Parts: sequence; C-alpha cells; structure tokens
Amino acid sequence: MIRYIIRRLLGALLVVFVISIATFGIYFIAPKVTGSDPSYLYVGRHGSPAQVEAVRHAFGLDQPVIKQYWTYMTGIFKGRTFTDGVSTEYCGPPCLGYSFQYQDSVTALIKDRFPVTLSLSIGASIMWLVGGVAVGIISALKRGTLIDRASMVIALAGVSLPVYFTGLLLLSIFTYGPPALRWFPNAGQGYIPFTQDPWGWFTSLMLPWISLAFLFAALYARLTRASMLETMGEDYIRTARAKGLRSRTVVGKHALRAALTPIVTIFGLDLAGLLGGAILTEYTFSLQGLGKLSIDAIAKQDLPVIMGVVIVGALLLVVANIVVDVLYAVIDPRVRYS
Amino acid sequence: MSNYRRLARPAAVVGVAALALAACGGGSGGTSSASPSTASGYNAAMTSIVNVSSANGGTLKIGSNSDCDSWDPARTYYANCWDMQRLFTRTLMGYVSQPGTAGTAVAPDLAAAAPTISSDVRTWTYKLQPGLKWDDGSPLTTADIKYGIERVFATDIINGGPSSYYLTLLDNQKTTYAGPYKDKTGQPMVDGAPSITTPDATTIVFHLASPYSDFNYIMALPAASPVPVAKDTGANYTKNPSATGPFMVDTYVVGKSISFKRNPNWSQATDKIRTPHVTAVTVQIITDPDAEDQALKTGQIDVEQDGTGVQSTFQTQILTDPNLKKYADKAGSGFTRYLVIPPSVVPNVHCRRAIAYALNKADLLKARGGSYGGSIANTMSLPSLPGYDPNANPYPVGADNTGNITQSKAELALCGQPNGFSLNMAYVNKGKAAKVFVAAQQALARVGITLVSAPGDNASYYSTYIGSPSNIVNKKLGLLQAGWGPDFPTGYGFFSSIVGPPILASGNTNYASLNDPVINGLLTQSLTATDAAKPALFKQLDAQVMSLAVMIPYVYDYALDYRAPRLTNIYLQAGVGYIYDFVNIGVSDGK
Repeated sequence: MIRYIIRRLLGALLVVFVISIATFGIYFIAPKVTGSDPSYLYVGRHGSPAQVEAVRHAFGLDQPVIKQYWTYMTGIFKGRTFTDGVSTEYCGPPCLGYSFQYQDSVTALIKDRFPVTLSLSIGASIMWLVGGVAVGIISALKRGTLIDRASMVIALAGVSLPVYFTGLLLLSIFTYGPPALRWFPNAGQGYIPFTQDPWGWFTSLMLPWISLAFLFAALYARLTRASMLETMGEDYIRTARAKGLRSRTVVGKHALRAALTPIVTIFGLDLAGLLGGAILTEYTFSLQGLGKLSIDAIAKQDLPVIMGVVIVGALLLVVANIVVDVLYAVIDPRVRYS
Repeated sequence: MSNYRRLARPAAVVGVAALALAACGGGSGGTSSASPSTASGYNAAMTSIVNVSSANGGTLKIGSNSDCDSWDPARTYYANCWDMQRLFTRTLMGYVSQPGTAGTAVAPDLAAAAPTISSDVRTWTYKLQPGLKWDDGSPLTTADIKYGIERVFATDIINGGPSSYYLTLLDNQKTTYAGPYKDKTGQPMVDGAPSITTPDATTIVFHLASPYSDFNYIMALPAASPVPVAKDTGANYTKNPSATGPFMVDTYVVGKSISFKRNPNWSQATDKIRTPHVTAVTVQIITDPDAEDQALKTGQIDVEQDGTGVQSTFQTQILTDPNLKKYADKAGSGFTRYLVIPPSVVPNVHCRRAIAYALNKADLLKARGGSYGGSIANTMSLPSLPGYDPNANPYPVGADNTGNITQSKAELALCGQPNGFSLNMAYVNKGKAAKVFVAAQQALARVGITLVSAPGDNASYYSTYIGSPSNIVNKKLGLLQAGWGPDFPTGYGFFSSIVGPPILASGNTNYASLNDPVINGLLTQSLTATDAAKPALFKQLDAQVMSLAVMIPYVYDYALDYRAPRLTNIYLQAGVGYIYDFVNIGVSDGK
C-alpha cells in the first residue's frame, strides 16, 4: 500500500511538471500567434517600442523561454527576489512568481483567495453529496413511482440550468427581493471570512452553495440512481435478500457500498476541479476566489497568476485522484493494492 | 455589456469641451457659484446639482465591477478612476465642480491662480496656494509636483497612464530622460535646459518643447499630481498613494476593495473645487453587473463607479417605473462612434461618400443599444466641444436616418463603380461591434456594396489591427469600426490624436492615416490660439475632416445611470466624462 502511494505521488509530480511546461509554453507561444504582447497592456495608450522593450526587460520577458521557465521553477523551491529599482519584494518558497498587476506574490494571492474557493466548494459538495445521493437512492428504490419521476425531472432541470441563472434568480429573490424574503441580505457582496464572522460566513455562502449544489446534486442523483439500479440487479443482492436479511441491511451494507464506487471517483474529481476555481459561481456572487483570480489573470495576461492557479489546480486534481484510489480500497473490499 | 470607457483602452478616457473656458484656465470653480440646482428628476443631474444640501456626515457606498487599473495617479487611464482620483489627489489645475458642459472648464486647484503664460505659449508659471499639506502634515511644495511629473518619465515602472503628453512636451532630447529611479541626477530637458524649474517652494515653471495652449488640461490630469519622494514606492505606490485631497486611502486590498476616510490635513480654505460632505467612501467590488444593479436598486450601494450605465434588465425597470426614472440620467456624451474609410484602401472620395450616404444610422443606433445608449451623430465633434455645429450634416441620411440611397448611387456612379464594390470591414470581436457590422452590411447591400466580415482580437484591435497602417493595407480593411473620447475636453484634445500627426507603425490612433495640410495647419494654429478663437477653428477643422469622407460618425455614446434617492449634491462631471462627481456627493440620512 505504502509503495503504491509513493509510486502514485511520483507519477502525480510528473503530471504537474508536464502541465507546468504546457501552460508556460502556451502562454509564451500564444502571443506570438495572436500578436498581442502583454507588455503592451502595461505601457498604455501611446507606448513607444522603447517603452515596451523596457517593460519586457523589467518583467524578464526578454529572456529565453527556457531560462524564464527555469527561473520560475527554481523559484518554487528557492524563493525569489523581485525589484523594480525602487522597492524590493522577497517572495519566499514556494514562490509561484510575482504579479505585476497586483504588486503581490502569486503565493500570497492564492493563499488569500483559496479560503474563499475552499469554503464554497466544501459547503456545496456536502450539500450535493448528501442531497444527490439520497435522492438517487430513493429514486432507485421507488423506481417508476411518482417520487422517482418527480426527482428525476427536478434533477434534469438542475443539470440544464446554468449556475449564473440559478444564482441570479436566488439573489433576486432572497437578497434583493421582497423585504419579507430577504433571508440572505449579505449574499453576492463578497466573502466574509469564517474566522471573522462565522454566522456571516454561513449566510453569505448559503445561496452560492445552493446554486452550485443544485447543479451537481442533479448529476449525482441520476448517477446514484443508475448505479443503484445496476447493483440492485446483481446476484449477490438477490442472495442477500434470499438469506432473509433486512431490507435496510441489503441496501445499506451490500448495495450502497458497491454503488458508491463510481460516485466517489466522480466526487473526487469534481471537488478538486472546483477547488481550482468555481469561476461562474464566484463571478455571480462576487466571491473573490481562485476562479475569479484566474479569469482576471487571463484577461490581463498575467502569466505568473495563470501559472500559479493552474499548477495549484493540477496539484489538487492529482492528489484527489490518489485519495479516490485509496478510498476504493476502503469502500470496496474487492479492491486491494499491493 | 458594452463598456467603452474601459473596453477601449486606446480611447479610454472621455470628456467634453469648455464653453466657459476662461482665458487659459480661468473659470470660477466651486459648487457655491450660481450652479442650477433642482430636486431629483429624470436627467436632472446632467444639467443641475440634484438635492443641494449642506448636511455632512455618513458614508458614500460605491459599487464597481472591478478594481481600478491603478490607484497610482500617474498610472491610471480609466475615466471613472480619474474621477475617483478627485477624492484624494489634487493637481495644479482641476475640473470645476459644475454640472453640464460648464464642468469641462479647469480652474486653479493647488495653484493660487491661473498661470502666467509667455507670449509664445511655451513658458507656463504657476504659483502654489499657501498652507498646502500632505496627509501626514508635511508641507506640499513645488518640488513634490516636479517629482510627480518626473516619475512619469520612468516608463518602465510608471506606465499605463497618459505619459506621452509629458514625454513630448517636457523633453526634446535625443535620449529622453529615464525618470528619477534610473537617473538620479538628470531631469527632463527642453532645448538643453531643464524644462521644469522650481525657483522657490511655491513657484513652478514649465518650459515646453512647443506651444501648447491646452497645457492647463495637461496639468489637470491625475498624472500631473505631486508625489512625495519619501513615500514613493515605485510600482507599489498604487497600494498606498499619498493624499492631498479631502479623503485619503483607509484600507485597500488590490482587486477586492478600497475605502477612504477624511484627510485631517486637508483644508477647505485651500480648496475651491471640492466640497466634501461624507466622512467616508467605500468601494465594493460586485463582479456581476446585474447583481451590481440589484444592489443599487435596493440601496445596498448608492452609485456605480463604472460610468457605463446600468444593464438592460434594470434599464427596462427604470424606464417603465416613474419612481425609479426620476433618479436616472442619460449621461454623456464624451464619445463619438465612427466608421473609418482609409484612403489607402478606398482612394476615391466619391466611393467613400457613397458609403456615408448609404448608412442606416437608425439601425446603427439600435445596434449600439438604442436611444438610451446613444444619440445619432452627423459630425465628428462631440456636441459640447467648442466649434461643434449642431447643423453640420454633410452626408444627410434622410429624416428617418435610414439612408439616402439615391445620393449614394449618384456618388457610386461618380466613383466609377455604379454597381457597387466589396470591402472588408474591421471590428473588434467583443460587445456590440458585431451588431454594428450587421447593420452596416445590410444598409450598404442596398446599393451593391458588399461588406465582408474581418473581426479583430480585442486585445490587439487598437494596437496592431487597425492601429497599424500596414495591416490595414495588407488585409485590405476598407471600413473600420472605431470610437473616440478625448483625454481632456478640448478641440485639440479630441481631434489631434485621430486626424493629426504622427502616423505610427503600431498603436496608431489616426486610423485613416490622414495627413491633410489644412487639418495639420488648423491643429498647429490652435496651439497658440486664444480660447475665443478656438470655436471657429475647430468648426472649420470638423468641416474639413467631414468633407474628406474618411471618418463617418454615426452615434454619440450615452449611458443610463442611476443614483440612490438619498444622495445629495450630485451631478455628472463632464470633464471626467459625465460620471457622477463622487467627491462632492453627500447623503441625506447621515448614515
């Protein structure tokens, strides 16, 4: 098991490394293709070629790509010092670069934004996991009944409605709607840290959680239902029933455990994906998380921030993958790693 | 969502002209002079100060979709951010606190009086008011102003702002001064002598490389504001800019929020432009424009900083509800939308005029958002610039503005292409531009002119797509969508960049590459002309530009803005592009 985990971790590092090269490469090559040099964005309206060159030099963009990449990667382990000739900033390891748009180190930016995305993702994932799986199980057990049909129609709606639609709808009812319905008056106006005001944190995140959870719960309900139906048709379930086990034991101990395997796989990936930034939800609810950080960075061609968010996102995904694989062994007795 | 003041960085800043521009920068200033004032009503803040009140206290709550490009006065280029700079930054000259076109005038701000100007309009001498202080209580001197302008020359660090005015007017050496960071001992030089001198702590003299009668406007840009050497942190100055105005930065988290508190070292006695009423100003970033509108409607914020108007959902509600409409204004215009027909691709003037006559401006206005998003333009000049002629309409397109097909066909015959021709039309692949393309395509098809779509990338559209004369020729771009709002509201400020030299290889804003001796002569003449002579000059210039049929204006941009009912002393400031003058706004409930 230990050896397996180590092997997987090494593989994960390789994946992150390859992703870092790809992102860096795309960012470096793309401007050559589209003809839009990020240096122009800094120089402004009447920038002369000399000014653009000066900016390029200040950012180190005039260095060979390999060298830029090397500087970036070694910075992660060694830390780097950035200076504009006036003030000097030290960016300690793990230094993911320095954003000239924010005048701050990318590590600090990500540290600052990550709690927002984490709060959003964890809360929403609990909601959709509990809600989605429960609805899925009930639907599967009550197959063909009104409950089953109704939940699947709602689930279909959940999958079809984009987050910004549900989000704005919820905001217009529960935040800006009729005074009697303004249950969450502080939603949509930025993030309230848990450490500062736990209740404010909870109420301001409720609507984003619901919007996001509605989308995912729908998917999970359908997935759980399908998976449950398949498992319930297996021979060993029939055997269990034939043994005279109680229905709760059959469903809870035998069916659900097997049916959960695909759910866990998907959940790990979904959660990790969200932790890398839930762009639409963050945007709709003015939550300044990693998703908002990354779209701003793309708009401003802020390479260090793009790189930082992508690397962190990739890291989260590969780690989630490993966790999922390890969890298999726990959930499913048939799976053993050696 | 169109966002011209932010979208089009090469034309990001808007303003309108000074009708009341007193001789080289006079103007009375102050809200106390005879400004019309009214109770709230639709469009009231365009022409009057709404809800005049002397009540003080409370917090002004501003909403914004995004953080400013920079809070460093020398590095910001968004109109709404220039307006925000009025909270804490003062310059030698400043826009007066007046509604309507009167707001385009500049008046002494840090300066004690209008400058003395040499007869060749190249030497400008300003005297500071006595008793000016920084927010930390230290005295403000002309050395701080000199330093603030010198750091604009450090273009590798202090970039993004309107630096070119200072770089070209205050330096004509072969190698331009590199700014105070790299060049500790040097300074900007004109004709071998320092261009900025400070004979004493209250006098500052500018020696310009060439005459420039609008120099007071250059001194009113935030980029000309003083910066204390001891507090200058280079690129980091945006995080904690020093204050000379009535407010100072309280807390600022880049990209997230900023709030201002009162500056205890600012004195009303030294400030004839600002009359602050609130004790604090907060800016909340609400990223979704529709959510921002909802926050505005319900009073969670008082006003939007963006200056781009409300979104269509809220706009519909405002226009159908009189109780909302009386708090709304159709704000503008500081921006002309026009189509460029480069002579390098369409050399025959009759072919160009055929296009002008065939346009359907009614449809083009619809494409730009309808009558609340703009008004039809028949000439290049903005309505409030000196020299604007309301009757100018050299290419009339009929009473209903749908086009003059007969005249267009007659011009086509003169051009030798009676059956029309085909053109590539450049437009940016974002916002309303594609709708404008379709409207133009349909209109021109009526006379046999076929428009082929040639969209350009948003990031490089103005710099290298239509901003590169060789790209226009290579891609045979015969019709270009463009728009222009001046950095400062004068005839020269508006026209010089779009019809005059220089013609740059990239980042060119004279998209038609016009090099017309009459136009160039009038521009040069205006640099030494008195303000009284300017209307006639720019009327002639506008007529000349129009006669060449290289730029066909079709819409002046407006935006439907909403202001919270509790706001007092509110009006649209024309000098910064018809955005509410945040620094003077009060709140009636004192909260």
